[in-house]
Amino acid sequence: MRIETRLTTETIDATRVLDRFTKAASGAGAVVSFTGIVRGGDGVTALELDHYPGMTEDSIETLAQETADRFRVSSLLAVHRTGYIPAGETVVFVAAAAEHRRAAFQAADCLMDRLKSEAAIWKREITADGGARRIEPHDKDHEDRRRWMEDDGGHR
Amino acid sequence: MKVLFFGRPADVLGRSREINLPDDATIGGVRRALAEADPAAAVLLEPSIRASVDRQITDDLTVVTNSSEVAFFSTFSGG
Repeated sequence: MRIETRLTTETIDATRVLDRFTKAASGAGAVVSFTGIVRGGDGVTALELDHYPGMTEDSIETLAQETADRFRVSSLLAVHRTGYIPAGETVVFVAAAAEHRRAAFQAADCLMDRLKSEAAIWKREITADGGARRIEPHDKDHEDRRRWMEDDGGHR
Repeated sequence: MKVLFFGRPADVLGRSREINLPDDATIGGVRRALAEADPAAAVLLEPSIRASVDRQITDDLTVVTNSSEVAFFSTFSGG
């Protein structure tokens, strides 16, 4: 099983990352990926993500490891960007490869839900007027996280 | 000792503060010492503000020393 996690302040080229991941996942029957993009609108021009060096990397690595252990994936990748990220750019990229599609879908879905509330990252929205608004997980995010706490692990 | 802040605590207190180890040398003691010294640090008394010692999330009873790396932070919001 291959697990890779990366934290970066550089632009994430999701197409290139997926291409490389898919090539390295030879033998897998399914590859599922998710690209999270900074949403503009409502005056939001960018996100600013802060992290705690050392702790943030560890938290993402632990989440990826636990996700890989739970589902039958052959490889799992999580790339998270931090710092100032303009609207329209990729903030997070997750990919899962498995023998069959269900495991790949579930691993990518679960890892994303957990990254939202368990990765040691703090987010602010930057608006066109120069303001900044702190973003914290809302009920929907906690509900998404709870889906993976069921004993059946969402294998319904 | 150095105390780091992330999320909402950083919004009001900046990235870090240097403080003397309080008599009550626990995470809870550090919270209270900071809040007593600066009204803005009252944010640290909110139950949702968690703490870590040497990058491990911990509770208020954890004992700290001058060489501990203590951090206080609001709820994570990744992804």
